[in-house]
Amino acid sequence: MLCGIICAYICSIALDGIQKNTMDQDSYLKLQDDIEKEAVSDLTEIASLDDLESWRVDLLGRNGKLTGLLRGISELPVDSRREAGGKANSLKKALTEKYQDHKSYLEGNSSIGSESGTNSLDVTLPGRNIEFGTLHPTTAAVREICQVFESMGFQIIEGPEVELDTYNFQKLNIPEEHPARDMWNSLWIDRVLPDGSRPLLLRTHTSPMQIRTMESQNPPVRVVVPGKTYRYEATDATHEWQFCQIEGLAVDKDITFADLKGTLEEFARRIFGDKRKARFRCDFFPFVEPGAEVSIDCFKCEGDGCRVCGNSGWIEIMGAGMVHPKVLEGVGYDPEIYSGFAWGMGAERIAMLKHGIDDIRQFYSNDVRFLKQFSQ
Amino acid sequence: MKIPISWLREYVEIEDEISELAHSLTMAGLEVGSVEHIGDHWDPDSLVVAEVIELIQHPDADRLRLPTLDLGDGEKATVVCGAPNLDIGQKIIFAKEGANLFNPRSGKNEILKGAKIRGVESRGMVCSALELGMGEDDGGILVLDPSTPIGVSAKELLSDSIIETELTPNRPDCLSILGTAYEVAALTGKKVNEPESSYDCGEFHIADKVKVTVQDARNCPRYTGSFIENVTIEPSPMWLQDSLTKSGQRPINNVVDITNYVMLEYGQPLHAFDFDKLDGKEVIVRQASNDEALETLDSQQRTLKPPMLVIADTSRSIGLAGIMGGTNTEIDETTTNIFLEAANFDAANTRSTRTALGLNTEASYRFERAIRHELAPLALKRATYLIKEICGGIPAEGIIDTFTSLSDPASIEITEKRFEKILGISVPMKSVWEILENLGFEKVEPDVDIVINVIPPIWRSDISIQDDVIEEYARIYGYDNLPTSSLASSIPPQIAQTGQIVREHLRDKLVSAGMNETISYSTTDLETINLFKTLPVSSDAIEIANPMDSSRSFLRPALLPNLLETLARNRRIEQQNGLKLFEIGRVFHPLQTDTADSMPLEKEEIAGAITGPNSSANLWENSERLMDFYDAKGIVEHMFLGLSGNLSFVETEREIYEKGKVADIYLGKSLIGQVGELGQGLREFYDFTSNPVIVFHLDLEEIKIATSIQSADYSEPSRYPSSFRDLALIASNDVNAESIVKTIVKNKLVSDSFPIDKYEGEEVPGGKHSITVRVIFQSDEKTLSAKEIDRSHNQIVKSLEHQYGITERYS
Repeated sequence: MLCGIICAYICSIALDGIQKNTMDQDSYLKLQDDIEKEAVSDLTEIASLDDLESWRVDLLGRNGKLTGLLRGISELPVDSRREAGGKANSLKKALTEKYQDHKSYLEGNSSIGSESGTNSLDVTLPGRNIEFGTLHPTTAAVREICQVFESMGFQIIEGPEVELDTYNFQKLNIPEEHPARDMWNSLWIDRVLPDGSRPLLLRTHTSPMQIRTMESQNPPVRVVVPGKTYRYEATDATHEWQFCQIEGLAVDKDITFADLKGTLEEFARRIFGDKRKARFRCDFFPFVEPGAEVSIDCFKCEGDGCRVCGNSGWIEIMGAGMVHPKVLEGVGYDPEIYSGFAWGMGAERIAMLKHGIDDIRQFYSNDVRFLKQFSQ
Repeated sequence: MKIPISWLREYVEIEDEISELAHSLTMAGLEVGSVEHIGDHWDPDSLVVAEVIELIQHPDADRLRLPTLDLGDGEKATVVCGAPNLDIGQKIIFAKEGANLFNPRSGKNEILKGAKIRGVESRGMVCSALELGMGEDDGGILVLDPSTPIGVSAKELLSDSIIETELTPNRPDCLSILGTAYEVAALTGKKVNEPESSYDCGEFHIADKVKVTVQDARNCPRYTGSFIENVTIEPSPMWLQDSLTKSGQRPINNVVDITNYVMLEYGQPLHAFDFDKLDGKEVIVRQASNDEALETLDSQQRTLKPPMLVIADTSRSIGLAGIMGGTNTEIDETTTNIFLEAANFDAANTRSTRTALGLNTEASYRFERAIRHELAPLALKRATYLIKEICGGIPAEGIIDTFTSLSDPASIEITEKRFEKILGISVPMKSVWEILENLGFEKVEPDVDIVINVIPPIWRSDISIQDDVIEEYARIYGYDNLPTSSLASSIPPQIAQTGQIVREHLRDKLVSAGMNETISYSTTDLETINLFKTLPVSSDAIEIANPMDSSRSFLRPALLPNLLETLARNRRIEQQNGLKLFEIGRVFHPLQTDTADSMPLEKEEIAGAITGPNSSANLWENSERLMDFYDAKGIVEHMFLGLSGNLSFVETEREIYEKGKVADIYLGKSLIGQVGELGQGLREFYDFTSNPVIVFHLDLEEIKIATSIQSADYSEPSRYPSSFRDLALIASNDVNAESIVKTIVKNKLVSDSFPIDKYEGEEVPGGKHSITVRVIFQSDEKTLSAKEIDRSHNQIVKSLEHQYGITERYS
């Protein structure tokens, strides 16, 4: 808009300056020619922006030669004004272009290239800051992981962080005083029921949502549950007492261990690259049978053995298994008809692998020098 | 569990490399955490068995002696030795010059060199277990079994590998060498050789010697015992000590070592009582009485209570059942008659007792994992056999066994159909049976192919349903050998999670506004709760019974304190740059009801905090500006772009904020939070003394109700140019910018208007402020003429004057 205003202003000045004299067409055109030749030859000599500016004022300025020439059109006979005026205008345009080109050239901005002079840019100086924020790497990992499963038809749901013992353990086939409870050291809420038991704890895994989901809907089920989980555990480079887990569950009539393998292998490839192979070994979780631990071949050393994979060539990424018939029965699904698989993985662990972070404590130290490394 | 390969080989043939074996075991579910090799760096020529044939005192040192050693083939050597346990006739390991040994002084493996020690030349040395890398005890030299032949290399005699297995809680059977041997056998198609356990007994019956009464059969389903008289207590033979040492157990005496050895062998804990120390020749298994005292073998006084289970005689408790024996009946060097126990104790009761007493032992570890009662008599007979062989003595005829059930062992029906349903592959029952047989399963009816009833091996307590059997097949067959497919079942209908969508929109907006996301611990302490008064009554806060530490003993009722803590920590690290942090997370409010299944109220909140310069120092920005209220407000406004509902800010007063510098934020009619400058008190508390800190906190639950993603409604842009005028206005202080703009935009030629400058200088009269507002004029119908704009301008000035007494600054 500003540009438009300036243009209008210049035009009005030009109109105001019309003078009324007379002159013949030939001498007018000759004058035009002379101005052009002189101007062009002068321009080649000009080596500074100051000289260029004088050249411009001399020709195109308010009292410049060409400006005068244009004013002189009115002195011509009426029938030749049109042709002369057209030529004068195209000369003005041509010289203005030459001026611009030469200016760019002198400013070192020419596409032809220039000797580095005082006016050239230091292209190594930083560009102007674009301020950016960052997602926490855990959030970023959760999103990336969930997107993969979403594309496979899983729905993202969330659940309570303070859970009932019933859901965190009992309905997952982990009765009271079961030694498997040692796998999940718990932080208990200070609430005691009349029978002396503590009903509430900070959930030690996202698996209770398997139960809550199945209790609230009929099969087929495909859900992914990201969320914070808590363990009563000393922290070190690979253990945090608070971390984010991502649970998954698929239940239907014909879901098999082969589907578990296929789905989780596909996940591993989408997160860690097409070449990745997944490996499944027998493992134990009370709420699945058969149970498995899923590893991928090391993306760092391609399976040769390195620091990342602890020289084994394989990296554990999650636990999984076929939903235990007792768990299905408990939520009212007939295990003779329905079967399914479930898995759980740590979001921070996936993020650590992807970014090469070797200490999980970084995630909750929230040092901005750490956080700012994970721009989107 | 530490498994010495030499011990494992006694029961099963191992042809594979140890690393391959470890891999197979791991893949099948018995994870091998590490493999340790003993003697793999030993040179067979420089470390050999020798006999001490002469022993004289060092002429110049009281503590040193000069043994002469027979190295075999007529070769002899005399060296200097400081070990107090060296004696003539002993078989020892002799290290020649050049041997590679562990030097306890430097903590490294070194090559042995000859040296003069107090004037006596010593070319070689007599080795301790530590120097050989076989044990930790450096009490003296390693004394070998007297029958060891002279001249044999140490490598041939002593080298070994030890695998350390990491057990899942369902496999107590693998807390034993035999259980591991069955696992190896199943994986490699070998057979297991059961250890010898039949013995000749004396001409007296156990029933005449001792009586056993189980008063609590639920907590002690089976109790077996044997009686051995006239044993000799002494140190165990070398091989026994060696096996225990390699498995991480300390040898004590022959009888105790045998109970430990058989526990490791079978996975069945045993306990030997000094029978002569028992009162009344009767063993009673009963619950402890209230405050019953017992000194356990670790010399600790224990105070017991029901339903803890004890082993007792007629007058007192003599052991904590399934956990640890008592000192009152401990085996010592004077013991001659032994009552040996191998029993089965209830898993849950054992676990709750050991938890209550804080006494976790090898025995309790096994019992709480529910080992099979069938192991008790097997282990008892094996240990009785070994005691007779090693400690002398005569076992009584018969054993005590309280188990009376005669029912058949539970069988499991398996079908091809179920295998296919779970594994996704049709498996011939014949191949299933091959694997199950190797694992030790038995068939109820032989020669039936389609449906088989199988009985799990007696050492396995983790197989009770068909799917458990399917896992057995799958893990031995190899999970990686099973097929892979992609999910073909129908995709369930998806329910729009609008709350999640709004939250993630807000999170993205915060990031695009230059904010860094943080995630803090979900806990806080009482001091912080009181400081922020985030709960009406601080006793409503939800306390953790066993917190990680006192600063994390409550669930946070608000997000902001944690964010400020994070901000303060970063402020200490990074002084020069501005900080813009936010967190989105749950807060926890008290239970609304008081029933057994009541849960706390969990709500999501958003908190943000900014402080310091608006941008980090750089070449292009020549003026640094401290961030203020309007930066924070701008971020909040930015967050809600793309969401439905109108955002408005109303001046307010709130506890933690600086007076006059805080606004309530409304989304439509819902109060969703506050934005403002942190009050002086909290700034000092967190040591933010230099720059203002501006914070906002938003109730995400309210937001989720009040708004949703809004798709923009298109309106056609005007085809005609707009023009603008800037109005410099002087208004009294009680007229705010929003009122002025609202009045201006009422004019029909005005398409937009917004403040562009705020001035509070000397030229502005007291009680007034000056604000410059840009007014954009535009019409959808034509290009506006200067006259029309002038007319509008005048109308605006008049209505501002009329409504608020506002004047133009330059009129």
